[in-house]
Amino acid sequence: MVSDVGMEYSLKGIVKELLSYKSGIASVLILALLIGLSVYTVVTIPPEQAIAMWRGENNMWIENPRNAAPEWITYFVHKNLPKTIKVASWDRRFGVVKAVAPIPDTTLKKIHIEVSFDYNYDDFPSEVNVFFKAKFNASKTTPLIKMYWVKPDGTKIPITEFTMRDPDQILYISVDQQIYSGLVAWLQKEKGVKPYKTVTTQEILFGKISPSMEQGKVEVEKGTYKLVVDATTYNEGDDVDLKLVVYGKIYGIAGTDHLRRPLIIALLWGTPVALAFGLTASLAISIIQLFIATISGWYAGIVDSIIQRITEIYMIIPFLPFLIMMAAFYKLDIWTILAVVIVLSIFGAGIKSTRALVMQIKEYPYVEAAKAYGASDARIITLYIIPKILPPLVPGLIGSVPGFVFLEAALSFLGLGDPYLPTWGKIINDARNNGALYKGYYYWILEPSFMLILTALAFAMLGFALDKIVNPRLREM
Amino acid sequence: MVGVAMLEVENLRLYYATRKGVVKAVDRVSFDLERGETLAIVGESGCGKSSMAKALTRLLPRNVHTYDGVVRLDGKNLMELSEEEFRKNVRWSQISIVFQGAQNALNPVLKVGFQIAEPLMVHDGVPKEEALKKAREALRMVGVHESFADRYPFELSGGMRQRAVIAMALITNPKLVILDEPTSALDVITQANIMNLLKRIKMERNLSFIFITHDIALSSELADRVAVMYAGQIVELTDAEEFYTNPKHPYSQKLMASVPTLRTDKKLEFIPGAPPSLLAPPPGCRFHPRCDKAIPRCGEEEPPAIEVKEKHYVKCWLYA
Amino acid sequence: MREVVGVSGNGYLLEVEDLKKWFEVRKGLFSNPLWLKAVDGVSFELKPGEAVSLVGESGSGKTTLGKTILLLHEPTDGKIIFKGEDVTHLKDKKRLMWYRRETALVQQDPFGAMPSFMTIYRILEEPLIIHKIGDKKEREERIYKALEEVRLTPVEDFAPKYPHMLSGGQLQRVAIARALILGPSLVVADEPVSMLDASVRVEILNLMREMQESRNITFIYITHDLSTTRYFSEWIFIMYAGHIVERGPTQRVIRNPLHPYTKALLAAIPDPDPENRKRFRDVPPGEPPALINPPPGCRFAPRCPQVMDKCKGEEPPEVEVEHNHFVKCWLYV
Repeated sequence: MVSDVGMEYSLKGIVKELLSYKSGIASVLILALLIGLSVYTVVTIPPEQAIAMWRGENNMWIENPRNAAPEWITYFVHKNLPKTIKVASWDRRFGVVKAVAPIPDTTLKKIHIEVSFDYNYDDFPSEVNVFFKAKFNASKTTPLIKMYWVKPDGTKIPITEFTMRDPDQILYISVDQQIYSGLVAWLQKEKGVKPYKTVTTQEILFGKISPSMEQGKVEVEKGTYKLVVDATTYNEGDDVDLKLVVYGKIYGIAGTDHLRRPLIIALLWGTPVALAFGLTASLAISIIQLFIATISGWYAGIVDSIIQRITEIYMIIPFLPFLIMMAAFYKLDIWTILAVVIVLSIFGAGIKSTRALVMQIKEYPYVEAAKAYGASDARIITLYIIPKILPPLVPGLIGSVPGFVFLEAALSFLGLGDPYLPTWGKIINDARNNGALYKGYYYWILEPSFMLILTALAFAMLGFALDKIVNPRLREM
Repeated sequence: MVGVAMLEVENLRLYYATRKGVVKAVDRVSFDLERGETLAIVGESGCGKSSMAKALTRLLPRNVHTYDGVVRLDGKNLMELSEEEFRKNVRWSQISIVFQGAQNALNPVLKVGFQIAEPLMVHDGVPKEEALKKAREALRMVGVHESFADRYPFELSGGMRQRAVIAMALITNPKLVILDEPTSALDVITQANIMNLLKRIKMERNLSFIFITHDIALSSELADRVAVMYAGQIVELTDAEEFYTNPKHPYSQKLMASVPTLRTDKKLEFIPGAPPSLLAPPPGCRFHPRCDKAIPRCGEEEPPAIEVKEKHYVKCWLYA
Repeated sequence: MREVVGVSGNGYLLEVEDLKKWFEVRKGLFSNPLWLKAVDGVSFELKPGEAVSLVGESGSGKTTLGKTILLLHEPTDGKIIFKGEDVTHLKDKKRLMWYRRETALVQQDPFGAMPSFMTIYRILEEPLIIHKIGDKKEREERIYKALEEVRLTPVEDFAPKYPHMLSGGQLQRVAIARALILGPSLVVADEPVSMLDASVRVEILNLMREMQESRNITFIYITHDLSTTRYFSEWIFIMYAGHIVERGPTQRVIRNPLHPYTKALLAAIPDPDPENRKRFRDVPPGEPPALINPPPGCRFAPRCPQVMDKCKGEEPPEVEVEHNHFVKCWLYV
């Protein structure tokens, strides 16, 4: 006796019912989290700033370790992995000494800097650099630097001796070949140990000097280390300051990439990009398809035939290769990619199902009744048909968002996405290009993948739950 | 009267569990049926009569909350049988059913003859050739030409499909056939033809029918006994002669008064209000909110089935 | 029952002349189209305030006839004259809107006839908005009055409800209110009570009859249930396979049916009677014909117990056998 016209959809009712499903609650929570993250990110790191950060302008990340793992990895590794230690000669704290001794009757100054720190980690640092902040005139005589390394047991090892070229010179201790040869020579001469060729500078500096070095096995020596610099400046107003950075192997909540950029930035920023792209694409396509399908279904006849033929041709065109072609030929920014995706999808398969629905509803008694009391075609379409076909469209709309999110990520992954925006796909692209899996930087791939999957899962679950609500036949009693 | 009744139903209950609560579709229904007798179960939509058919044939949906009572067929309590036993020995071999909208119950991709023959092959293990032969005979018996056995359901008209379904229900020679609105969606003349067919079968084969319908006039075409169902219960159970001329329960009376008749002049009446929801039926007598003869007791206590005359039961305090 | 007045003469509200409605059926893309002749030559006249029951089985064309009269289908041939104006192929927007105001439809399925996402108030407001009647306040008055007239009270309770919250009977009252709210002169009700419970049918039929009589509306009541016609209308049209085979005063036709089909219909319908089960009904076999490219001659010939040779060759004309009682059958020519 009751005809299958469907129930009334009130927002409150839908939300209430949604929350009665476990998948509904889970998806709503995850989406709230993602939206919250997006809002937070966009507010705290405005887009221009994000792009600047991602470009690494002004060497802003130079003091971050390269390819550092996230800090929580220590729970899995059970090793106390090193965090980055930074000590500057201008720090006012215990362990930092700077003594400036002018030589009378000259413009010369002898500057003695001692920078000490505790090192109690179970593993060696990834890098050791010294950043000089000196004041001098490069055309005149530049300061002379003598640098020593003092181990916890007091052993003083000379590192290097040179004249400065540049007030902001950086000494890359851990990769400098000369320093390395010097250290190896010192080891052989003073300690009679010839380290195996795999032993690194950091291992020599921070390791227990022992015969095992000859097999390449080095243990960390924990304790207080000191970097000692004796500088001689020649001109009035010259000064030497430095900052020692002992790079750790872990950093922050998400780690860093090959360009020392904190991955958290891209992970955070990927969220609004993914959501905006996915939702915009999905919404725009759904609305446009709704419009086209309604026209097609309502007017039928030749209009319908034409639109359906166009749709069929569209459906045959291979979407992804086309998109890849466009992206490969032109350097596209994300908005253009979005536009292209939308244009390539509007005559898609969704039109067929919506049109079928429109043709069905067109025959419903209440539409006929509306004609009988004089409603115009336009009125019937907007007030009588569209409100009926909207609810069934929503689950599809929601459920197609992950597809677009993945699409954007795939394009970025292939290197065809927006080259400036930090997105999840971009991270995976960087990771792959830098051999993340070979080098064991699993987090680099897993973190963006996790975000992608989480987003997809949330929308998919929401879509399924909504589908159950909107389509009563799918319900369990 | 032939001794113990062929079918004895006592306190049959079928409740469904739904999101909104428990729906008491069949709520302690009891009746007897003799061999060769036809019982018509009449009631409006939502009174539980279709659920009654499901309860008797044990074709239950997933969300059954309660299903108990006694259903004795020739002395054996069917409720005690397991699913498998019921399927093998009772359903379709002793009790078969013609569904509402049965024209659509035929499988569109199988030939008509094969579908009619299927119960024989499945239940009685009859080999295919012989079963098809019997199917053709059955078609003839229901007034459809044999050649239609080789056709598909869409090639038959609505009336012919209904006859085919009836043939399917009869082919295993059951003791009891349940007809659930067997002629809905058929035009009046075809309906009369089908009823003629059922009358003929009833006379020739001494079959028992349970004829479920909302159409009271139509029920008189077959009924020897009539049960009126309201809100999951039988409120009146009596012989056809008594019922169609002198119904006793206020609901039956109002129902009869609301049926327009072609040949007699009468003042039509209607029943105000609507049938109650089976989720939360009214306390006491379920009809009392709409009954113009209700007394205070009706709202407090549910009346028992009172035997007003021999084999004439009425569930109403007016007859206590 | 009202006094039956002659149908011939002038002052008709509705005149239908040889009305035809054929639907095109294409079997394939390139084959010739077949014609489904749903209404194949129907003529009658109705005065203002007259009620007629249009009786036929499914496939008889009665629903199509009703909808064609309302111009919900475009007539294939013939004429429809309403209040003296030929409205058969009405295209002028203003005149069409006038016709929509003057006519109304009540449908079979009360739930299907209402948009499930609109409140009762909104549903009743739609016709008023479309025809730009009154302002917000006036419309509210009219809507509440309409609800009162169909006895859906208290109106403030019903107005904000959605269709699924009402019963079939209540919704059908809303349908009636909606049909009458613009003050039409002609209402076509297509099986308005078939989907309702037996106990509710009488109530709704009574309501429609009351409204029809009090407002002097011409009413076409389409049904397959002959038994209800006696209580509703003074005229009856019997339809079979696209033709009206018999028409006349309801009581007369039922007591003294002329056409063999009418006789078969009457014989087929049971009244509640315990004797029914002991006897067979005298009805012709077979089923109503498909309306696609029907054979020549009388449509009922294949099933008619009184068929003659003439019937298979030529379609019979309509003859007036007694005053106002017409039949389309060679037996009476």
